[in-house]
Amino acid sequence: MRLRQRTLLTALLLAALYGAGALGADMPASAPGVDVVPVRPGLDMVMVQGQNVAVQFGPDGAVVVDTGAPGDSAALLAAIRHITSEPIRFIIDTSASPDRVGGNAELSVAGHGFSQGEAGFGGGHFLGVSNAPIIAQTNVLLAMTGAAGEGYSSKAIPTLTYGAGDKGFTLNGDSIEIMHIPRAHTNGDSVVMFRRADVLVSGDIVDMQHFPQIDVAHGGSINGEIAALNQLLDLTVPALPLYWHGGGTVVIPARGRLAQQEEMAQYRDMVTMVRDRVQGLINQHRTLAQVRAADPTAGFDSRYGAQSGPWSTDRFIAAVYRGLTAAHGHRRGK
Amino acid sequence: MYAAIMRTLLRHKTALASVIYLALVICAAAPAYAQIDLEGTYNSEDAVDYRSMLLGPRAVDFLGIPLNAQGRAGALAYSQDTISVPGHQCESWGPQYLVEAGFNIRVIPSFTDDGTVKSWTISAWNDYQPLVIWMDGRKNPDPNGTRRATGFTVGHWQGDTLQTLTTDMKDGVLTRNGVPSSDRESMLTWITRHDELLTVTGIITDPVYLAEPWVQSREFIYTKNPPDAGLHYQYPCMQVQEVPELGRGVVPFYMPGKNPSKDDMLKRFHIPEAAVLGDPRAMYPQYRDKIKAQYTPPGICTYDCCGWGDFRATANPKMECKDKGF
Repeated sequence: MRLRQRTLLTALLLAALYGAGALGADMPASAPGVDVVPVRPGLDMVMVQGQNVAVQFGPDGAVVVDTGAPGDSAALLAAIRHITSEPIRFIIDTSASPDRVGGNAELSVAGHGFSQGEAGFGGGHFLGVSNAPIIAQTNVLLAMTGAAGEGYSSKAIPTLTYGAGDKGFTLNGDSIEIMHIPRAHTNGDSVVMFRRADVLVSGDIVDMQHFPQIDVAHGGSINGEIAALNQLLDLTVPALPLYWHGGGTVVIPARGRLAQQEEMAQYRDMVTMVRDRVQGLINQHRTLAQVRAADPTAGFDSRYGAQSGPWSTDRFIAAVYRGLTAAHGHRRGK
Repeated sequence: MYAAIMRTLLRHKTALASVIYLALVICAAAPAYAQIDLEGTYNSEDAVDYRSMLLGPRAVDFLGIPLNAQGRAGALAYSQDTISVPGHQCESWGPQYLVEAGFNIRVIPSFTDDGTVKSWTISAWNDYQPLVIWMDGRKNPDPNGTRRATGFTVGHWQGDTLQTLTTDMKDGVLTRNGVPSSDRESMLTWITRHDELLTVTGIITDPVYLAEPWVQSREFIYTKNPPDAGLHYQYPCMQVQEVPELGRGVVPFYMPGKNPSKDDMLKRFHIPEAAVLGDPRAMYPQYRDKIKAQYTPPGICTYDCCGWGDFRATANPKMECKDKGF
């Protein structure tokens, strides 16, 4: 009898542990506003409250590209823990926008940069680092430490910056290339290419749900955005010639679902058409109000537009207009 | 006779049990008889809407497509040069092409271990990614993942008709003349085989670009001689710089109000502009009655008005046809 009771108790305990484990394992995927999307082996996209984060993982640890909006760090960390038990080794910011850097401090502190004595690591820049280093283009550092960056803790600030050109490193057997894109969404944009996985993280240059966010105040411009989209199009490889097999470069946008080359071409087309329409109206000396009234986003409003919210169609048109009038010396608001 | 059989069976309980068992097996298997074998190669019945099916619709002919204002603006901005631009070359048409284009098809089943149909694959010409109809009850993939051009399709039998639902598409074009389709579009389809004839009817719904659901139907004819069906094989496709003027970064499109083909249908056939531009009301028979009093057919038809393989003006016997076929 005692044996039976002990067996029953053990079974109940195991069941409880299994249940707890299963619940824990399911938590990130079932958490409201969180979706973990496998992209390629060793690389997932985590959508947290509509913001996309790329997580590359493997025996060397995790590389996290962008950290979501402020306040979503706990959910993002839980999702990353669900993906890998290895520490976060690097964080890469694609820009200084709050939606990209909001979880910098929490994720950096939760991570662990390479330090002296770790197996297989020969030292170098990261000696004695305890938090995960944050990599970004120099202008991200300037934006987060300047007047506009007030409110960021020191732990959120990029610790490894680069200027013009590219920065690259290798982790988990993949070559990771970080490329500076000048004056697109902002003046500090980076895109990240995981060469082996053939995955491109676009940051705010591509948004599959909205018109691109062009932050003119921080150095963004419509022409830079289009140049960036053409550059990204060059970086993607189509699933050809055997297109029915699938494959090809996968793009992780700032928001929305994964994209491939043809969708990048569609997005580039849309932004270019809106730019040309607005330019045509500017050439007719139209004011911003008149440009808005002419509906230069017709055909795209119901797909990418928004009547309200942080990035409305009106704000997009204003950003395009201001970028073009500033570029060509037209008078604004005439 | 019946009573004699029953008496015999009652005397032989084992035989009775066997008969009951057999009847139960037949009953249980009955749904399988409702599933029609779709496997085979089919020629498209090109006489239906031959102009749009073979040559493609005219550049601005959205007649019968229930466009909303956004869909209309997108369609009028479209340039046929788009398909020559790297990035767009080799793009597959969406799943809707099955019910609105003139290609021949091959239907191929795959089976589970127990011999039931796991999927039906409809393959066609090389610019149509095969449409896979999953019959095994699988769930949709994550909508935030990568998508197939022909979307994700599940199917089930309604009597002798296969009903399918396609979702999770990519953005693209609904028709060859550039009517846009969004990634929120869905297509409900009924596939019915009547001996040699395969009827495919689709209801396309797109909250982004269509004001109402669009219904299309196509007929396909079974062929025992697959080479007759012709263009239903997959070919490799590569992108090249086809047109020097369409270099890197060039996006061909028409500015608002500048589409040069906008008035073609009005000038050639006197069809009201609103109908040509996809007024949803033009889908319904009542619309024809409504414009009947104002409509004057052109006296001479000079372009593409003689019907399939016919040099007479089939639409209006009084109209002189001078287009020498297409």
